Amino acid sequence: MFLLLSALLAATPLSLAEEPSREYVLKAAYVYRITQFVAWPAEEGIVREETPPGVCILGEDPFGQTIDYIEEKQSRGRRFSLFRLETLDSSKNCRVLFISASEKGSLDEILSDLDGRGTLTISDLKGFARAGGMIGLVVNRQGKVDLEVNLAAAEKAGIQISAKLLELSRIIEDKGRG
Amino acid sequence: MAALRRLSVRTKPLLISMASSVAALTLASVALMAYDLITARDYMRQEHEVLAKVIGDRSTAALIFGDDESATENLAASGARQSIVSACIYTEEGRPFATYERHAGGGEPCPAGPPEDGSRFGDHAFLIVQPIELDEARIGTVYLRSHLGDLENRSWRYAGIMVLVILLGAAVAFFLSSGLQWFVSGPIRRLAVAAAAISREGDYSIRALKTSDDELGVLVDAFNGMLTTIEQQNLDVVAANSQLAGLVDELEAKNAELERFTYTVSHDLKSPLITIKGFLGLLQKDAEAGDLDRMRKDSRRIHAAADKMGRLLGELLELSRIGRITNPPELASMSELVAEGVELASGVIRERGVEVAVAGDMPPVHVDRPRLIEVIQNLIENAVKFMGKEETPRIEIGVDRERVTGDEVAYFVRDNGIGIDPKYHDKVFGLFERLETGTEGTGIGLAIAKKIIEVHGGRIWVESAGEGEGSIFFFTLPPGNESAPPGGESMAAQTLETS
Repeated sequence: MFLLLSALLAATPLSLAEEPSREYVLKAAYVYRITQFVAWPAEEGIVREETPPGVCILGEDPFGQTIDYIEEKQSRGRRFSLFRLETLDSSKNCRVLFISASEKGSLDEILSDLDGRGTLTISDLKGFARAGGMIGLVVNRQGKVDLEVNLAAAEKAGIQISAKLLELSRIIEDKGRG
Repeated sequence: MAALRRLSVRTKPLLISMASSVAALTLASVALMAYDLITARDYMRQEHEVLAKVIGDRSTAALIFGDDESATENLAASGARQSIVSACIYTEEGRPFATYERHAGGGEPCPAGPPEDGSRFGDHAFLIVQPIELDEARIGTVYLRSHLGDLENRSWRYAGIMVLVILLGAAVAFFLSSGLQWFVSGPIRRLAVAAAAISREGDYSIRALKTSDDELGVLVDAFNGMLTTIEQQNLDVVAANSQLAGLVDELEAKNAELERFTYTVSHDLKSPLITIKGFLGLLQKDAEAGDLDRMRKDSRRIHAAADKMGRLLGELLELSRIGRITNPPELASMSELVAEGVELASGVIRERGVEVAVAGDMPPVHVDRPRLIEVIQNLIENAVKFMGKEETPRIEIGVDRERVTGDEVAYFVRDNGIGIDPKYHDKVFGLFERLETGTEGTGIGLAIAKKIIEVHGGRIWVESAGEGEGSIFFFTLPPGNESAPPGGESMAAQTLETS
């Protein structure tokens, strides 16, 4: 499975219209990869050790089974649990929150709910980073996925993103949030 | 090897020290060079390992997010290291992901797939292949290829310096040892020169100069010691030779003397015998003629001749006794000895009316007392005998102070008689050498005196200006080893006179 994903990462540009599931296979891999270059704050109240760290998908799940493998992998010594949520649920200890395109309408609300909670937000919503999200996945013209990172948002949540990752990313300024 | 044998002792140490210093320098240089090469290679390996690690580490995100541009940038950064020829990142499956070539197309391109992990020095190149890992899983491979130009240049430079150092070292060794070898070869050469000079000139007084206190010094000492021995032995041989020659001369002289002696003895003994024989014939005639008176006369002549013969034989016996029969030497006062000698000769002295003056204060002597008295008696009798027609005959006996040395004391007996022609000065001491046939005596007295003095280790000789000038007989004796007894008499003449 991993081999397949790696192969896909380096593969020729995807045809998004024809193979929508391929795009999400790639994005699912991105979600996992990103966790390998992110460090969370180890503050109490944010990290609840009794529950394992979670990767949460909020809204309509675009990945399906292609992201399930994330529970089998370790990322920097952590093993994630996968949650699919309808609404934000603080009991799930979501370290990564993938905000599905279906939540476009309530994005501001979701982001403000998450303020200061040490949750890395990822989404493929257009302008996500500019809107205050942390990492946006953007498919470029070559059909590859670019990363847009809102450093200010990540810093605010106490999340450190590896310079290696930043090197590959486009840094986005906040839209009026400071 | 034969050529080595012929080399001088000056060249050999030079050769030895140069050979050893060049060998040592070469060995040291090779070792240093090898060490440096190994160190440089180790350093290069480490450096590339770090570089590959950094590139790989920096490229993890690029690799897994498929960002080959970013990975290529990372690789290009490695180009900051001048030796890098090409660098590549491969995906985990082994496909080239990002490549960098210093001279696009010109250099050695990356292989199509990643070679085996590890680092190796290849043909003018150093290769390193390292895995790129993330979360302990391999996600790719980094490949670096460096040319060895630096390393090779370094080796060449090193070899150049090495050759220079060896040449310089050899030069320094040459000058140092040409200076220092003198400490060793100098004494040996001097020794050789001395030995050659000695065997060429046969001069054993040559000595080698000692300049050091080491074994060479010992050698020089031993050499000189041997020379001293040889020289001494040479001198001994020469001395022994001349002594032998002297002995031969002496022996020849003795032989001649013996011949003369035999002749003289037989001649002198023969004349009374002829006299006896002649008068015996006359005696017979007288007896036949019954002439008693003449018989008495003839037999008196025969008596006289027989007496003369007896005296001759007695004195010969006396002469042969000297040196054979000796009295133990004793310390004697010379004055006493002279007094006794004068007393024994008092008959002839009185007969001729000679005045005898004896000096006082004569040093004592350590002698065979009776023999020395005999000498004095003989000398006095001799002087009296050859007084000639002198009207105031006088004999002086004393010490010649000018001739007294530490080794001998010279005494003299001086007369104012007829004197002796210098050409007979040696002869007078010979046996039966009467210069005047008309005088009395056997001619043995002076020979006896000479023999006695010589037995005492002294000398005897005569000095005379010539006939009519008187003569002085000198004899020397070794000094008595005790101080002279206080002889108070000054030149008090002891005069013996007859009418």
